[in-house]
Amino acid sequence: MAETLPSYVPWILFLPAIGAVVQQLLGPRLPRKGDLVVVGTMAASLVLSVVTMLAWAKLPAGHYFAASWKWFELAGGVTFEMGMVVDGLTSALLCVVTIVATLVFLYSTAYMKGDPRYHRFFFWLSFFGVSMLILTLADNLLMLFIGWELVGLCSYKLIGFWSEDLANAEAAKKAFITTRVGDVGMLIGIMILYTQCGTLHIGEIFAAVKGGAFGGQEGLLTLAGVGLFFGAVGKSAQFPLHVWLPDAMAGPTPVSALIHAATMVAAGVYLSARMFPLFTPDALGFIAWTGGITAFIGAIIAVSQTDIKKVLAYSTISQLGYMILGVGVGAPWAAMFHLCTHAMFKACLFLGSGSVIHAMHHAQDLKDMGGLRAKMPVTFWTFVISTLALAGIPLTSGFMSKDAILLQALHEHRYVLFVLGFGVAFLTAFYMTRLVWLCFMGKPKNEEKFSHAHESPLVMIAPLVILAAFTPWVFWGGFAEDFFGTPAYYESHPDFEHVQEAYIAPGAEAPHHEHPWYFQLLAYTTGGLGLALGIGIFLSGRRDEKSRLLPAPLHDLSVHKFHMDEMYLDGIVAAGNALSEQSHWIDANVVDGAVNVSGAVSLFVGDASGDADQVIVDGAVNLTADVAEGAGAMVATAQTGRIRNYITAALGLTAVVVVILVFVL
Amino acid sequence: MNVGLYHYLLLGAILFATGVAAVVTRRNAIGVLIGVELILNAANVNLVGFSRFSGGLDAQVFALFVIVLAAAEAAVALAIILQLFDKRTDVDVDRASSLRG
Repeated sequence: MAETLPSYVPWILFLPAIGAVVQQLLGPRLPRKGDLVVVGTMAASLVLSVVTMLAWAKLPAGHYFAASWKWFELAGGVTFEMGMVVDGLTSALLCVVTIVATLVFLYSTAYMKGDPRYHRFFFWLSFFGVSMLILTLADNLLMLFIGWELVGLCSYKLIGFWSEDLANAEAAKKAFITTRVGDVGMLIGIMILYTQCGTLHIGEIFAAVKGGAFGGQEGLLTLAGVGLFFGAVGKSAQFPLHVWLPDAMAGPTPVSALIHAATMVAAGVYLSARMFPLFTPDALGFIAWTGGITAFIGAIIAVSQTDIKKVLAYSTISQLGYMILGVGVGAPWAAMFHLCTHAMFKACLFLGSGSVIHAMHHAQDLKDMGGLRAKMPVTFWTFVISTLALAGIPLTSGFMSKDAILLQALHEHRYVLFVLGFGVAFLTAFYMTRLVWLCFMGKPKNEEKFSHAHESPLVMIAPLVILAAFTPWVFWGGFAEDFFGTPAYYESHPDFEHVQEAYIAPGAEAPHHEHPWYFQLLAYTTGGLGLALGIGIFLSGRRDEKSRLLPAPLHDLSVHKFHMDEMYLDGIVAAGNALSEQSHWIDANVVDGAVNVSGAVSLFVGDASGDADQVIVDGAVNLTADVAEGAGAMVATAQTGRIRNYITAALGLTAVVVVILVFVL
Repeated sequence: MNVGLYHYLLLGAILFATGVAAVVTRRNAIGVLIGVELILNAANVNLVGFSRFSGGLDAQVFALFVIVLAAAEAAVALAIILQLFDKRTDVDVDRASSLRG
């Protein structure tokens, strides 16, 4: 049931928007170039988000806040609305976004210190925050799509923030274009839904589908669902469109933490969870396999990367695969749960890597690192804690959310994906151990850089500590079911029972999934095994970042990233280039030829018509003038200017008239 | 000698012919103006003559009008001639022909 939206909820969006505008207009003239405005407005937004979440939690089960305003109207009475909806899904994501954003903004004030475009960086950061909140709060697909594209734009600007380096600009372009490919699918999905349901409001779409808008056209509904999911494939870096995310690491590290680990890439999962009721079983199967394959590929590649941020990027791809897998096996709440826990510890990992990179004077390669544990204790410990969560060690948040997904996969009899999932969990623990070891343990490999390394300033390590504080399980206990079990428009879901099972009804008993003994065994040991194997391999000290850790064929695939970039370059990009060359030939010869011929014809016609104009038309005009001139000259001779001539003439004429009057008439 | 209408008209005709001859032949603007006055007064003589022999006074009223008109005309014409003299230091109407076609 919809409740009136509290009046402070729109301010969650407006405050950062005001901050962004102020930053853009006044940024360079403000003290500290305006970063405090941006951090402050986002912190205020965080407070309001928490208040909103608490207000929502007080509502009776199945209730949510909603409000919408008429936006514009087309001819024929088609109206479009802007609206906000706050349910568990929204309020949890709001809090995650604002917490991570506030901490990353704070962190950036130190990380970006001294950058010549410091104020511009903060403008794009705050604009990203606004866009993400639009996406989060939207109650209709149009507004969601606007936010969706705006976060893509901000991502593009921030990846290419140091665009003096061509590689960064190329990476930004790649990210933008690759996600656009997915967005085409999303637009198709939205159009199908609009055509069939006549509305873009998510709740009304569900109601329309329930009312039979797709009657007898299951295939079309599947297509719409897969289309929407394609948007998620692009945005959440799923196979085969995952190639942009590792390159996106070209951006400043706070950007990687905020956009490419915690929030924007999670938007695809959020979309999938929000639109979950539309997915037919066929679509869900497609989604589940996409997620599973992505998780596996990401984990395999992460094992052999030598760039600290690339390891984390592939890890992110892998974890996003988990979330999508969660949606695909019918546990959107578990996917959202994993999204939230992952946002915290992955943001912590990225900020930690940023702290390392900062200390190493922008060296990112593992070959320069090692032994940093002694120099950077806070970074080290927060990094380890987050690694444990990512590895899914018991008593961490990652353990809870990952197992919720895998248990659902088992429950849905997706055994292959289930096994794959545990394989990925094992690999995750392994490659994260490798990363921690190569970065922080062992002996320093680059003495010169090591000697300059130091712990980061307080504003950088404070966010690390806060984010790491979210990893113990106590913080998340019982959170997921309460929050993600009651999405808005629940009652208008087309397949109520199917959804009821997927989204746990609030207050009701969670669908009780048995934990078979082998599941428990796997869940509790997999992470530990990966960890132990990693430590065992590296403890001897004979392995370095180039060591082969996987069986030969997998190692080659891992190092070459499954040849995906080459496939795109040799296949699609080359085909595109060939096509454009052909098009250019056609343009230069056929199109230009036609244009030139028509130009020549026009020229000829123009000349002819010019001649006709000069001879005939001008001739007629000139003739008139000549006649008038001749007549005037003739008459002018009578005008002597001598009065006697005039009088003589007048008298003569009068005499003639008199003679005629007297003698003739 | 008995003076009749014939004598009036004859005097008018002589005056008119004299005036026209003056207007046509004189090069001096003053002479031309005098010729015009002669023509006007020729008309006056005719009007008075007709009035005398037709018994009404209408024509004599007309003659008075003509006298007033002639005075006004002389004032305007003399002003023009003065201006002309200022500009050209002579009053030769043949040379003042800048309005010719």
